[in-house]
Formats: sequence, C-alpha cells, structure tokens
Amino acid sequence: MDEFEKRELETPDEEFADVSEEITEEISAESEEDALVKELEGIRDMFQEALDNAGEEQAEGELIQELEEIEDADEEHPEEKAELPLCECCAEQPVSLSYGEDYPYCESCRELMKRYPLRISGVISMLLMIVVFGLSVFFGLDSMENAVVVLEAQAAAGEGKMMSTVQSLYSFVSGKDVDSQKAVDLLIDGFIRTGYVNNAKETVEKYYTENQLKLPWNKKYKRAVEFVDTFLATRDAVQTIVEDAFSGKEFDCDKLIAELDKAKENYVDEEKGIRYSEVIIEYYKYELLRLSGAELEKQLEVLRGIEENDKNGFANWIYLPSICEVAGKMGNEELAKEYFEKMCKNNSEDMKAYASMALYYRYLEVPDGDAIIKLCETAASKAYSGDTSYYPALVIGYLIKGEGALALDTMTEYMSTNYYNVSNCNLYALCALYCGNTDIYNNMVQTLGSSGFEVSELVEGYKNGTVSLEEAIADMRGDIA
Amino acid sequence: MTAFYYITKYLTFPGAYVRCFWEQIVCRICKVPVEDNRYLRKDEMCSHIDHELMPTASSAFAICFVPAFFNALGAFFLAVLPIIFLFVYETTNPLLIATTAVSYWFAVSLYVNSYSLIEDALNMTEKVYKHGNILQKILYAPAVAMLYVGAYLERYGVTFIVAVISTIVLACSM
Repeated sequence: MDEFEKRELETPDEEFADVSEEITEEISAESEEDALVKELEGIRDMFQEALDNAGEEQAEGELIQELEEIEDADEEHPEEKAELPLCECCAEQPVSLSYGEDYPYCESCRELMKRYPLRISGVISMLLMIVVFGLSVFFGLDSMENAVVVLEAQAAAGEGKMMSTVQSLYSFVSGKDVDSQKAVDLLIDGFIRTGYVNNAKETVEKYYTENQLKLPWNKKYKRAVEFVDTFLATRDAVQTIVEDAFSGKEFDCDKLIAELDKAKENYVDEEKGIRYSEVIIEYYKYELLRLSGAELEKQLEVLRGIEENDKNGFANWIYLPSICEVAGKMGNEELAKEYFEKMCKNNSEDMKAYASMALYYRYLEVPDGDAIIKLCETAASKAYSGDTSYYPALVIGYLIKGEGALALDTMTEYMSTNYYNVSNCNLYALCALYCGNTDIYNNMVQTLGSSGFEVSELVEGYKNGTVSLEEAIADMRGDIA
Repeated sequence: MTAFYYITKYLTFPGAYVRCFWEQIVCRICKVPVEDNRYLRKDEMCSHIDHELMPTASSAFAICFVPAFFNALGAFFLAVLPIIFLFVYETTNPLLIATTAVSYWFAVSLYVNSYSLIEDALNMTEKVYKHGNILQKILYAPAVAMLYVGAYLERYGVTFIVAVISTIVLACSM
C-alpha cells in the first residue's frame, strides 16, 4: 500500500492510467493468492487435527471400517450371499465352507451332529447277549464235568486209543442218564472197534429208538445192531454144526467145510428173520483150515475173501490179526506190517496187533528175539492200563534170547492176571521146564488135566529131550501161545 | 453277491446293532459328526453308521479297531459254550440246546459285523501310513492289515462263511 501511494504522487496523468491498470491487476492478483494460501492453511490444519485424532481411534476405526465395508459389499453385491446353499440339516443357515466346498451342513448343525443320540437297540442287543451267555453258563454248569470226560474221550479216540475211550465212557454212560449224544456215539464206536459188539448193540438199543435208527445219519448204528444179531445167530448155528461133526467118531474137516458152505448159501434163521453172515461162516472155515494144518496160501485166500465181504468193517477185529499172523508165518514181512498198521490205526491200544506181528520174527529161519522184545516194549508203551496180552509174545522173545528167568517171571505175572487157556498153560509149563521149576510144570499139568486137556506133545517132547526148545517155539499149530 | 451281503446283515442284526453302537461311541469320543445313525439300511451303509472321515491316525485306527475288537471278543465268549455243548458234547438237554443255539447265533452275528467299511479302512491306512508317526506305523501294522482284509471280506459277506467254517474247524479240532 505504501508503494502504491508513492507511485501515485510521483507519476504524470497519461502514465497514471496505465499504472492504475497495472496496479489494479496487481492488487487483484495479490488478493487471490492470499485467499488460496489461507485455504491451504485451513486444509492443513484440518488434516493435522484428523491425524491427531486418528492415532487415538485407530483400532476402533479399523473395525468399524471393516464392518462398514462388509455392509457396503453386501449392499453393493447382494447376489453373492444368495449363492451359498442352505444347510441340508436345518435348511435355515447357509452351509459352512470351512470343511470343503461341498460340505452340506452349517456350523451349528455340525456341532449338534457330534452329539448324535445313541440308539437304544445297540444297548438292548448287548444286554440280551449277556443274559443269553449267563443262561448258557447256568444250564451248562451241571454238564461241564461230563463235557470234560467226553472231550478227553474224544481226544483219545482221535489218537486211536479205543480202549481208553471205552473205559472212560463206559462208567460215565452206564452210571447215570447221559445228556450227551457224542458220549453214546463214541462208546458205540469204541465197542465196535474193540470187538465188544454185544455191548455196542445194547448201547444202541438203550439210546436209540427204532424210528431214530431209520434216519439216514443213524444207519451206521442200525447196521451195527444187524451185524451183532447176524453174528450171534451165525455163531450159534455154526457151533451146532461143529458139535454135530465132533460127535461122530471120525472128524472130517472137508465134510465140515462143505457143511459150512451149505449153511452160507441156504441157512436162514426164520425165527429172527436173519440171513447168516457169510463173513462169520468164512472165518470159521479159516479156523478149521488152520487147525487141520492147511496151506498158508489157502488160509490167506479165505481171510482175504472175508475182508472183501466185510464192507462196514464191523468184523475187522476178528480177521485182521489172523491175516497178520498168516502173513508172518509165510515170512511176508510187507503184508504182515501192512495189517499190523491197519490194526494199530483201528485201535492203537490193540495188543493183539503186537502179538500178531511178533509171530513174523518168531517164525523167521533164525528167530529174532531182539526184534520181538523191542516190539513188545513198544506195545508196553501203548498198552492201556492193565492190558498184558502181549506178554506171551515177550516170553517167547526171552526164551529165544535164552533169558529163562525173565521169561518165567513175565509168564508168572501174566498168569496171575489172565484167564488160563490151553496154549498159555503149555507156554508156562515150557518156561518152567526151561528153568527147571518142576512145581510150576506139575501145577500146569494138573490144571490142564482138571479141564480134560493134556500137556502139548511139544512140551512133553521137550521134557523127554525129543524136541528142542527152538522146535517147540517154532510150532505153528498154536500149541504154545 | 450284494443280495447275499444284505441277507447276512439282516440275519445277523444283533451284531450289526452292537457294532454300530461301538462305532458311534468312538465318533463321540473323537468328536466326529455322525450324519445318520440308522443301524440297518438297504444300501452299502447297512450295519454301519454314516459319519465323517476320521481326521487323525489314532481316531481313524480307533473307528476300525474298537468295534472289531469288542465284537470279536464278544463273539469268542459267546461261541465257546455252543461249540462245546452243541458241536462236541452234542447235548440232549433241551434248555441247554436252546440257550447255546441262541448264544451261537449271537456269536456269529457279532463276528460277521466286526469289520469296518472299506472307506474307513482306506482312510485308516492313509492316515496311519501317510500322516502317522513311526511308532503308530509299527504298532498298528498287524491290526491294520487284519482290519483292511476284514473290511474287504465283509464287503462281500464272506465273513459269514468264515464264521461257519471257523466253527466247523474249532468243533473238529476239539
């Protein structure tokens, strides 16, 4: 302003107009500049104030801003929210995308599903199972002891120990009312395999009704009963024929065999409606051939025929030892062993099997006492308690080895626990002579005499010195054991 | 084969109920959502509950192992007396026959429904052998193999045949 006043006083009129215009322009320019500056300063102050406030309200501000942004977004893009499908469970909330794009449930339903109620049927089933188990124990408790006996008997039968099976079940079955079908079946099978066929029949008739025997799965027992009936009827019929033959003055073996063949073809027990058993008649035929000293080949042929006819194997306890004995006498080791094994398979406690096999070693050109003793030691390890039926074979083994004292002791022990028969008495007498024990010898002579028998010619010959010990042992007629 | 599978499942429904019960218990413990707990349905989920796949190796193993273990254990106890009294002793006591026969049915039904779904078995092997630690891989190995094979057997109803054959073998060996 001072500069303006100076210039107005110092300049002329023409110039005054120009200067005046310039001054006016300058004044207006200065005013605009000041206004701009003021406005800028105002803005600066406002920003400064905003910056100061922002430091204090930053956290709150950001949150609010975010919320506002979300709201703005929703308002700006409403179609994005509508695209999320509703929960399959509640159909109210949108599905949660936290568990995959296709997850069909919302968060709250998912939480509820973690506590899905348990069904009562699972608990009821478990309770029922516990109750049924308890009832089984309750009703089975009385039979538990019996079950142990049956399990042991079955294990013994599985090992072929039929004597043990029969012994353990016999007292069990006969003692009380048995509630085990297995015990009955095992006992019947044991009786059949050990040759106690009459007991088998009695047991079948006691525990099986006629209607039960008609069932297909009980056919075996029906056949067993039929076999026993046939066996007994045939035995009685053959005994009558043999007694008639022996009542005559002359015993004709061939005639007797012809009579038996006739019986086989024609004889029928009309009273019982039973046809005689070919197997039993043929076995009697073999016995006649053996006693008459027929060829071993002929004997074996008859026995093989019996084996073929005995389809159920009910009579194998009769003919298997005989085949083994004949094969042994023939010196056919292979055949003897084959039938020895068959007998062991049928009943591993069958001491007849060992006694029959011992014959092979006895009838060798040079009898093998060691083999007989070894075989009898095996028999001893397998024998059912108290079964000493292999002792005579062992005694012969000792005699072959020249161990007379052992032979006599063994035979004494055997005679103390077994019934006397002709061949055993002769063997005992022979042992007594070998050891010089005349008391026992005389005792045996007396025993045989009291039953109407005489001491064997072989034993008598050994006593007189006409027969050697080897010759007496090598006898094939069964005079000695 | 599918028809046979359904027949075996419906014939052995008590075992299916028990199995599903254990399965659901495991799901609860592991906090895994159950989508459907119907125990018997006419689809591939028959005798299994519909649940999400287990998230960890341990839980995946548990969902297969726990029901199988308890069902097999129950089957063993329930089968012992029937095998002894029905098949070995051959009892003629009518009450014992009735209780042991039902007990045997329960035993078979438990065994038939022991194993898990194939999906669970696959999830178990994946979780144990891809995400599990070395200890889990070693400890779980025999059970995993058994459960895996069992799941395939159950898929075709073969477990029913296995149960019957096992009974015969056990009865014959006693």
